Amino acid sequence: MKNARAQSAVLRCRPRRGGFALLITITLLAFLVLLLVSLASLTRVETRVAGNNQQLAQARQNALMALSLALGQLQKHTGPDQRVTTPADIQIPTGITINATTTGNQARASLDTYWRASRNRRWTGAWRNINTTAYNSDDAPAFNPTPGLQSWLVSGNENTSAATSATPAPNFPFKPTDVVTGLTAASTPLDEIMDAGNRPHRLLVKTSAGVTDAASLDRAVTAPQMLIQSTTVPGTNGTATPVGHYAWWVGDEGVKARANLIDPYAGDPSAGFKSRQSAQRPALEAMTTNGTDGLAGAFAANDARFTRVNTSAQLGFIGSGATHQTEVTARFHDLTVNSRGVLADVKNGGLKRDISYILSRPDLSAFRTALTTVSTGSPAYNVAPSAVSNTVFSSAATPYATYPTNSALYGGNPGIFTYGPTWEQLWSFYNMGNLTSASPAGVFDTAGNANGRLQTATRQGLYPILIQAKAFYRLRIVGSQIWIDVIPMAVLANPYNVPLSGNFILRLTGYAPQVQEGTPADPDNPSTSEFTNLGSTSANAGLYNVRLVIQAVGIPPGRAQVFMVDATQSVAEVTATSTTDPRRVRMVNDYDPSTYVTINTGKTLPAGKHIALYSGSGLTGALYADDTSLGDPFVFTNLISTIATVRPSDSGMETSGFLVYPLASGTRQGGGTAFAYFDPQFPRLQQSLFYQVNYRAIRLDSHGAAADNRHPLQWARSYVYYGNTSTDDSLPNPFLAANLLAPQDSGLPTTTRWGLVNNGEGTYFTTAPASIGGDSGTTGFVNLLYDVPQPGRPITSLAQLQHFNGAGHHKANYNAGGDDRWSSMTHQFQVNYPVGNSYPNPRVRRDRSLDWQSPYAYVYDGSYLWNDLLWDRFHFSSYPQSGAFDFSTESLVNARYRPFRDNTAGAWNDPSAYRGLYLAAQNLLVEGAFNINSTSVEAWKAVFSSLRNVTTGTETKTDSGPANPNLTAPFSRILSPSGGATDAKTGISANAWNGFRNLTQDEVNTLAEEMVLQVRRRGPFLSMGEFINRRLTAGPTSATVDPFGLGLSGALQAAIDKVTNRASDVPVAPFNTQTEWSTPHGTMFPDADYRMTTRIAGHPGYLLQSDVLSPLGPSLAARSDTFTIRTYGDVVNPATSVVESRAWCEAIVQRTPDYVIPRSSGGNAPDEAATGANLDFGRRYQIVSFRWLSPEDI
Amino acid sequence: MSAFIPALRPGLFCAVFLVALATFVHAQTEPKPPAKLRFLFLDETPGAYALKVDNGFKQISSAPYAISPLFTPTGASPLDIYKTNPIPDPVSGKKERIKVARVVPPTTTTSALVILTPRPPAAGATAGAVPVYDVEFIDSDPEAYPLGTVRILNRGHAVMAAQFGDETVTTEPGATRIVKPATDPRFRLRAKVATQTPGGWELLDSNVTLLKADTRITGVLVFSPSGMRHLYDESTLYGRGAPPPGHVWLMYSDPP
Repeated sequence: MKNARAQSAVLRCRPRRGGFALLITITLLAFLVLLLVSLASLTRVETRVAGNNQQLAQARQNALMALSLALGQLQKHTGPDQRVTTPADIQIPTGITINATTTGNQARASLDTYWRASRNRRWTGAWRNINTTAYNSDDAPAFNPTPGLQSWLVSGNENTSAATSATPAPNFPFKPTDVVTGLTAASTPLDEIMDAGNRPHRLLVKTSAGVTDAASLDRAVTAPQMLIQSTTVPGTNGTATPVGHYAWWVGDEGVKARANLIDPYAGDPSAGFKSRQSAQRPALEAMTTNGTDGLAGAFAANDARFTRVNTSAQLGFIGSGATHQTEVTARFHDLTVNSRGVLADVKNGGLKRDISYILSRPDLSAFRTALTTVSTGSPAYNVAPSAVSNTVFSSAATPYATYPTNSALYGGNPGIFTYGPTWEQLWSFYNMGNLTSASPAGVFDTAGNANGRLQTATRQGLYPILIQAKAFYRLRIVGSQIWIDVIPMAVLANPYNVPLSGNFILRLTGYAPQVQEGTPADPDNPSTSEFTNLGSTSANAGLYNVRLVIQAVGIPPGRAQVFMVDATQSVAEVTATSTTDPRRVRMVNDYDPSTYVTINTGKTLPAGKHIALYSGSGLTGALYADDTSLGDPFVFTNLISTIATVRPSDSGMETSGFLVYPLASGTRQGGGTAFAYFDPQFPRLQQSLFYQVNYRAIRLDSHGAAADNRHPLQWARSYVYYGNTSTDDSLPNPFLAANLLAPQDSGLPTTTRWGLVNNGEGTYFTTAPASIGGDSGTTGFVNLLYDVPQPGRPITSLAQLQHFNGAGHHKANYNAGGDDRWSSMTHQFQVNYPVGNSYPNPRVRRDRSLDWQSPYAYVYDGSYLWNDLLWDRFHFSSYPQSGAFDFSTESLVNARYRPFRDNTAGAWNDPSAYRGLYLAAQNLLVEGAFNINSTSVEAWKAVFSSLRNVTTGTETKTDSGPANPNLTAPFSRILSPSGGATDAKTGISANAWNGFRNLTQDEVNTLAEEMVLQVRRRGPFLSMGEFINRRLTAGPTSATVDPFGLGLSGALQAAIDKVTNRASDVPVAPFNTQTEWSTPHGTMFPDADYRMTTRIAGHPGYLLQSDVLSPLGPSLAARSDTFTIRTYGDVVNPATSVVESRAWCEAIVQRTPDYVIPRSSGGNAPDEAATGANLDFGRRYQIVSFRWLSPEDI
Repeated sequence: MSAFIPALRPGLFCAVFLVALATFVHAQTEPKPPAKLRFLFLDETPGAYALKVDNGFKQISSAPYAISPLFTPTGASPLDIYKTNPIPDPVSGKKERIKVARVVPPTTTTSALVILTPRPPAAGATAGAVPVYDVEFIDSDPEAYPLGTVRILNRGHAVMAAQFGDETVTTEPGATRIVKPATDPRFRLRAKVATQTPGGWELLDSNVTLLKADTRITGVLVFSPSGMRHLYDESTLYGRGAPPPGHVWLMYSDPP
């Protein structure tokens, strides 16, 4: 106990520490304060963060609001089918002078300078046709479409009414030509940039487009910054108070070249034709100036990694090279990885009809049903009402086929289109690749030969061209019986790309030399006045009734063969017992001057007299089908083609000599008559023979005028070669071989040149002109003028229809004359390749589609009509019309046509989703559809180079550097040419006729610049048809009337002709001389501007726009359906007016075939005509990607 | 052969020798009949050519370069050749015939081609005066020019090359060549003729002719200032224009 007290005392003795608690308290308080301060700070930070987030959220909401506005405007102005979009710089601004001689390069330089001055060339304009004038067949130009601006698709223009016919030029508050004075290369997205009107703009594209200096400033995009106001800000008593801003811009992806496509058929030799048939990818590597800079060599073409690229920026990860990323970025407005197009009819509205489906119908009835959409589809299209045949051209098909008021001038009854090309012929043409035993019947046998056939109202014919025909004579007196030996000869040319077989019956008429009798004072110096007809005129040498059966056995592609009487026939077989003997005599591919057909005249030599053969008139050669089932083959319905020639109307020449000079016994050789087609060597040519006339016309005849070279149907003139041989000479007349220009080292002239040269030189016209290399030259033997659809290779492009023969069909009893005659004849006036081309018919005024010219009768511009009715309304899906097909593992020939709907429904392998009139357009989109209104030179380069390094003809080389840039841009009229590209443009090389054109990189660059200039001069194009066709406008060209020649060709052809097809391309005369307008015989063309640059214009090496459109057409469109929307939003403190937060976003939106209000919601199915709200808003846009952007991303 | 030689007897040999000798002597003493003649006028001045026959005239060439049919003179007497003056006599209005050459038919051959060429006008000659003609006989005897052959006469200004089938031969101006080309089973022969120019060979004709074993062909290269305009009818000239001056290849055949 004592110890306890002691301890307690000790404890009590320790020093007192009374402040500890206080200290603790203070410490605790300090901690508390610190905690409070921390909490306060935290709270403040959090509050601030929350506030910022709120501001950002509000800014983003404003940006999203801008996106909604943009999407709404886009939907409103471009949702309907009949809208197009263009870059703002399609317009040529006031103050920029571009005249008829301005080059594309010069125009580009001027415009670049203009737009770099802080203007907005990248804005997107939405347009539609505001011309509401009904078509007036007496004033077709009044119907020309008029582009009316609906809006510039940027913020600030939302409330301005679109252009209408009443208000064609609305005054939008913000225009791309406004100078944004505050915009410099140093501007940032955070800057409020003022324009000349002191209105704020916001930068939406800069770094992403590689804008670094004044020279690149035209790649920057600003959009008007619009104020967001609120009337609910506390303390403002309902006054509209600024609470933020927004800006938006719609960028057009369709005017850019699609970068991330590859050719699925590259490297597959068995499918290589598909790469030529349809452009599978634009060539990014063509975005270069000299073959080494730009994107040349940056990418490996067809790199599989392209398919995994989702944004343009990702392209930088694929390419190589130090400047690669910079080059890609600099092409922000030229490249896209997103563009896709809807297969819609921009001209008429509605989806495009799948002509692959229509033309694949198994019979004519099903074909007509598919073609004529009266009760289904939109708009109604009743073009095949007849169960017999239906002409392509009718006012139901295109208004431009409407007869002018004075329709009596246009064929009266039944009208000039009656015997013209028919829809059924088109169906037949498409199916020519079938076997002859198939249904529908094609032309091929199992050996691969194409078999000739008649052209009828429901069938596309296939037949050789009768290039030459001759009939030479001799007289024999056997006993006292008079015999006439006739040596017939024909040259048949196969203008097709396939071997051509068939039996064709040749009929030589018109030239009926008379056997005459006389008693000349000196038989060696006879006078025609000493002779008179021997008996009746029946004693003539006409082969009217002898059936000369030409047996063509696989005439090789492009070749011309000589046919003479088969020498293996017996004398009895070639002996006509009378002048009316209808026997058949075989002619085979051989040259044998000893062969003949002999005719027993039934006449005897009068005692003491001589006989002679006296010349007749012109020679007509006609080919008939050897259809023995018809009995007499010489019925009109069996006529394949005919060429009638006359001799110049010189009354003296007929009396200047005998065909066979007088004889009183034995045999005497004689002369003969012949014709050969004109060729470009002939003087006074008013037409280019390979474009402005149809080489396959089924009736070449003269009518209404004297025969001369100006006559559109006077293709050949008959000549007489007199037979003033000595009585004892047995040699064949040397003129028998006239115009047979055989290969130099061949034996007999069984094959000959044709086309470029049909007529020989030298004493007997048996030598080739030195201008094509003389006898040792190689030109003219293989001329591939026309493609025949081949087995397994159906047509996949509208431009491939250029090979359709639009010569119509024969009208029975044609010779009856009258209106029917004109209705038959007018179709022979058509040009060689009407579909897809745009040069006017040389007999039609440039402000017309139908015309009348005395004495040439009634003519129409077939190109204009074809293009107007085809290019917007139809498309070739290339979807197989039989068998299974799975998009998951397979590609179409047009591989860029891909399904866009989700495959989870299994639709990708369901043919029923794609085989139908509209199903392909309903369920497929065109990957990389390219808007023809593009003003991007770089994009056009890539598009024009789409077939870069695609093996063509004999050219298989690939790029090996700038020194050897082979196949930079090959274009072939024939799908599978047999020649190469070297010297093809000269027209006088073999390649010019069986090869193809390959544009060099320099030519591609120039072509792209000229193309853009044409787009600016003529655009905006409101339809494909308008782009393909020329403009209907008055002429001739002067300073004030059609100064740019818009009525002389379409935009593409005009651009092409600035690059090539020039007279200087052709090295020698007379081939490089211009066709003539005014000749001693008068004129045929409406004005001198119709002259072609050379006489050979149109040859296969001449680049026609149809050659370019053939592979490119399926991926071209008049509008865009993919857009990038960039928006800006910010939040303004209503109290301080300070911007407290900003946001930027980017969305890629895609127009789809579905209407905004689908049928399931009371709207319309994709293939139906729009009604209600769908009329105003059209087809629905979907956002396919979205991202927020930082200022650095701008 | 060995069986034939023993069969020869001296008597028979003498008989054959005598017959041959008699034939030779007869030939030496009796001249051959006149050769059959063809005429070729390398002349482009207007007017037809005729032979004076009995009391009349027989035209032998209606146009320059037109090779006449065979003409068989009735005897060895000279043949007078007249040319019709294309300019009518101002008094009578008739076109007079003017003698331009006298041809003595050769007796040393069976046939011949007679080429008549006008000499260039002498200095001081009046315009339109009928020129004097040089006469050249081209022996056409079958021994030198057998059947189945082609005879090439270059009467032009340039070296010429001719190809007949596989046979190719060049011929200098003024020279004559004979070739025996092979034909195909139907007697066809691809024939090409070219002349040498400063720029190389110029093809004149690329033709096909018939050469049977029982015929022969003569081809003559001539130079025609008119380009053989007379070969063409007016419609041909209308379409092709007048032919330029140049060489022309002419051919004719002798009958079996």
